[in-house]
Amino acid sequence: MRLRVLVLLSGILPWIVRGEDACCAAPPAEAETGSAWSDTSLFHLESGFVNTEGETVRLADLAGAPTVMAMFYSNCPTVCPRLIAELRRLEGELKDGAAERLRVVLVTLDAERDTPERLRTYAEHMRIDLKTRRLWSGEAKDLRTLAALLGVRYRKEANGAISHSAPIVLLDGEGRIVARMKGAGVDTTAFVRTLQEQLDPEAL
Amino acid sequence: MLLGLGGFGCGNATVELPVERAVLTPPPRVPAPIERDHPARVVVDLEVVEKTMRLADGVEYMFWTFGGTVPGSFIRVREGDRVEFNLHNHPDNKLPHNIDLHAVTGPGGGAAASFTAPGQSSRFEFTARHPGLFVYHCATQPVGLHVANGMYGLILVEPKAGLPEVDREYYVMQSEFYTRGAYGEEGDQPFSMDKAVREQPDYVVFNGAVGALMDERALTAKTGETVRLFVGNGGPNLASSFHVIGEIFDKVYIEAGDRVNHHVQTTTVPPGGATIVEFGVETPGTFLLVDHALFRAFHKGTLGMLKVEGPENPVVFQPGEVGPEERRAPRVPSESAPAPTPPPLEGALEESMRRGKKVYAASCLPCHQADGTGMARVFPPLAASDYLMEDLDRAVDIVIRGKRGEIVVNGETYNQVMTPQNLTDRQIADVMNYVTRSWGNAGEEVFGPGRVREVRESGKERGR
Amino acid sequence: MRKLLWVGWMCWVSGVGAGEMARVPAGRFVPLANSVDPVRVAAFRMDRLPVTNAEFLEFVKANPEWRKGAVRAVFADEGYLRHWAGPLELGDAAPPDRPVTSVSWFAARAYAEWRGKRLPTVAEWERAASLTPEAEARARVLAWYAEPLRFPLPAVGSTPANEAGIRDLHGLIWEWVEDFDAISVTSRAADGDRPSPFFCGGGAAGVADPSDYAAFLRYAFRGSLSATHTVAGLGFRCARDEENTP
Repeated sequence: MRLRVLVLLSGILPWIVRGEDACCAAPPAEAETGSAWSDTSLFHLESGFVNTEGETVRLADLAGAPTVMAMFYSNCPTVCPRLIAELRRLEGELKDGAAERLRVVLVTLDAERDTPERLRTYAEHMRIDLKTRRLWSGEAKDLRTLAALLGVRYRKEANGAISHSAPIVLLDGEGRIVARMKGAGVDTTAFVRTLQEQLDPEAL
Repeated sequence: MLLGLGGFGCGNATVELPVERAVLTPPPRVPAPIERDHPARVVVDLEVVEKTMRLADGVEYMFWTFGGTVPGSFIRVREGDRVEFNLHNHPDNKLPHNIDLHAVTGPGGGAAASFTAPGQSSRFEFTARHPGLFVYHCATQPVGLHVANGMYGLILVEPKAGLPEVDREYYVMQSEFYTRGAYGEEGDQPFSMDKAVREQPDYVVFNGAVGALMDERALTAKTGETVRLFVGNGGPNLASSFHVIGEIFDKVYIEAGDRVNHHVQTTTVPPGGATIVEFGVETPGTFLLVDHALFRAFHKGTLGMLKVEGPENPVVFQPGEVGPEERRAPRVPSESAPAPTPPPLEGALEESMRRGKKVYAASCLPCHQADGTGMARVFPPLAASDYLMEDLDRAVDIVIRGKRGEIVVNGETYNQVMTPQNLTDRQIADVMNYVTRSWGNAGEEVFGPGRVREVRESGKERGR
Repeated sequence: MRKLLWVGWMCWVSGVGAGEMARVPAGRFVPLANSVDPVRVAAFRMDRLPVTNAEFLEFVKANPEWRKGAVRAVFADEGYLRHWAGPLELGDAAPPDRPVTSVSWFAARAYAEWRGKRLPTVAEWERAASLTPEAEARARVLAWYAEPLRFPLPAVGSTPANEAGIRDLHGLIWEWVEDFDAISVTSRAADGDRPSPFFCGGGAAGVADPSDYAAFLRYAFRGSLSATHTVAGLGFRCARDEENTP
């Protein structure tokens, strides 16, 4: 008899074991509706990234002021240096002190190699001022999520290089994308105009 | 939307243009000629719909369409227009699609910018710099499959001065279909990649289906009018030798460019190409549109009709003398004198006749017409036909082995070649049951496959 | 006799217990474009079946921010779960045992993470697909393309299993993968100005096997997607690294 019970129980065991797969967290009592961000804000992404100081940062930390964002990686031979040069050029086109209010966040596509330390070295090498420019890294999964939100497409090649598109994206203070341009070689007039508007002290 | 566009750097010189919505028409209709004499910003909204439709009687095919039709909607703009092209992919579709308009100078002809998943839309803009008639088609990989399933149409960019005025304009597009089953095989027919690669279609048709321009769907005109046909070839594989039986093209815009040829009988339309032909219709009658690669016309469905009504014009064409007893086969299948309908029958015979009607539509109709009246001087009538009814075994034999040489039907002489019909014994029995009881034929004999087989065997014995 | 029953029972039990995911052995496959060199794919585990409406319902019960009507526009478009009758109600067009579709990439990933898994990469998915004999896969897929999309979809498990015991890779639904848009990036150094493999001409010029229409269509479909897209014929299944298996 006991044997039979054991046999029966062992049959049920797989389902119990499988139950582990289903995530354990109980559902919250009420669906949260209180989020401050609009439906199209990237700040809804709660994943954490890591800055050059090793601190955890989130997109929502950027709230309150516009941010120019792009993705790159330190071992990139051609596209990324041009991207950085393009950002400098954009900055140069800003007037009325807007350049001082410009905040740029560059996020790596290369979770494995671009540690915070590596990014600090890169910033030094490329003469990027870390006071106004932030370089972020993170988990590969989260970097891919951010890339999808920004519209960056990329692929790791067999030789370790990463082929990627290089758009430059402008987020407003609420995390919404308000302008986009290709990384290099396009007419930037419209982008700069929107950027200037966003950085207008009245708007901030 | 933002994520789909590369940048906001487009020049804004076009902002001041008046905006109008393009009028798109299903084939064979064409939007009205453009009246304005200045450029405009023309907004085109075109939706891709995947749907099952009739390819031939009893034959269904899953078409992928622009605007719900094969060929797709006709687009008409003017040289210099700024076109805002919105492509929509219906949410119930399975595949992604895009569009390559041969009128567009730019990456993929628009294909790169219009790659659209089901339920989504995409937009791109172009300036129509070159006048002419251009093919458009889906260019999503594998392109051959998308085109083979019906994704093509025409866009006309009128020259600034417009085209000369004509009385009638029509939209005709030839293309092929490759099905797993043979021509006429009933049911849902899936695409056959093997046949497509070997370039051996089962169907070569005008406007997306067998009979799309025949009988009640024929193009029409009146004597004395000028007719312009915008003719495209969706392919995917075969070139068309476009000809209208009984007509000569007064003008052919060679390859739909601006070089015009005159007095042309047959003009070549390559796959992915187009032509514009113009001619005056001076005599009444039914003029057949064909691909002059004849076996396609008569065995694969590349047959259309232009019915012209009006008074006879003996200066241009006068038929020969006819005797007092003879019935002349009307050129325009008559709507005013319908043939007497046979009494309703039940059971196996009715079933056989129903099948026979389908066999007739697939194999016999192109020449002998839907009402059995044939074509004067060309194809003998089966309607109230003395030749048919006086020797039924002979009739069966003709279907099996074909016929050449002179025969007299209802007092008229015909001297044509009828090819042997590749039909089973049962199909022949069915079609005989149908024909001998239709259009004034008072048949009473019931045909079965056995009888057909006997005729077949005895014909072999006679060594024919 | 009892021993026999016991052994039989344990076999059945262990079979079921390991039933949800199958092991796909390491191997090579030739990607359709961008490289003619075979890609090596490490062994991994993949769901035998696509994720069903029932399973996704469990997910949204536990994660209200992913419910129909509540999901943020930045993570999914308006077509999200459009065949479901309500946020917590499946309805007739979405029976429990059918693959869940009209979910965005973000939603699919969120589900996978909730299950302690992830999405397969393109390479992994195509590697698993290559375990079906090519002619069979092609025939099934071309037949599928000849039919309209009908709702409710067929049940999961309704197409035969391949060599690895995985079903429904061909002829049921399209499936999200982790790096769905990676293929549409060209490596400039390698290809120069060759046109994209997705469009006319580009495909003939730069692809490994132009006759593999089924693969062509999959790559083309993936290339048409954005991460927020929801498509009626597009669902997903999960994968997992081999080391994580208990």
